[in-house]
Amino acid sequence: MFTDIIKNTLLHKTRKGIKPVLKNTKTASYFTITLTLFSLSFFGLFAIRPTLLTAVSLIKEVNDLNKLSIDYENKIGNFITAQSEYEKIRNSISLIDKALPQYSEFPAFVKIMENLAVKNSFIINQFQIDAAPISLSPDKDKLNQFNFIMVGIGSYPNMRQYLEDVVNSLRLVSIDSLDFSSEGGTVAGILRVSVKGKSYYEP
Amino acid sequence: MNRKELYILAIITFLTVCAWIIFGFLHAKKASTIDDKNLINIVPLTPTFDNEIIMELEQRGNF
Repeated sequence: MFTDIIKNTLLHKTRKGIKPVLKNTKTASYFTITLTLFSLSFFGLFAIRPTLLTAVSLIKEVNDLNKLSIDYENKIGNFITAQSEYEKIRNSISLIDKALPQYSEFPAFVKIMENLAVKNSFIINQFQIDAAPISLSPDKDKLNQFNFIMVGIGSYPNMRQYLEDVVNSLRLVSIDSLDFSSEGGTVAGILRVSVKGKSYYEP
Repeated sequence: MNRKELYILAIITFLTVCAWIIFGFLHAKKASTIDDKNLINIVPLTPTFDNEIIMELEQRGNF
């Protein structure tokens, strides 16, 4: 009874069907190679490929995470260095804000020019500033500027000292042109100067 | 389909699967697993300030 069951199984039937075909050596070779290739393809597709990809992905992920960890450690080190460097210049940060303010702050600029004029006995006759926004400019992190024209009167030494003080003042100023003319005749030694320049701010 | 055609089909199938495995392997090896957020976070930071400018500003007159 047990033998009958085996005989009736699909495997036995297949073997029985294939047996005559395999009697020919050449056919047997073709059959073996073809079956091997199909088997390799099948297992390659459903077993080898997913396993290999998972292994490679995991190795790659480990390497990437190690690299990421090193990069983060470097960045933390840089933050600590930056913090200590910042502590050294903390008291000087306000100087940067004064040199390059966030807003145009032209009233403060005019006040500086006026104070310098008083200091150097220089008379400002006319001071004109081009249109500059009072509110915060939308162009952030971009150097903005406004032009000014100033006309003043003074002796040559006073005028020279005044202009040196302007250029060396904390608020950044650049002078584009200077136009000199004599005031009240050549004997008086008084000059009239017209200054065109720029001042800067960074929102 | 005779035995030769079946044999050629087996070879083509095998080669295709091999190529697929190799390309998948190379792609998995090359593709980065670090997300964009982390890539932005690890951009190097220069931890130095321009001290010369600060010193120059300190020497300027504050009126």
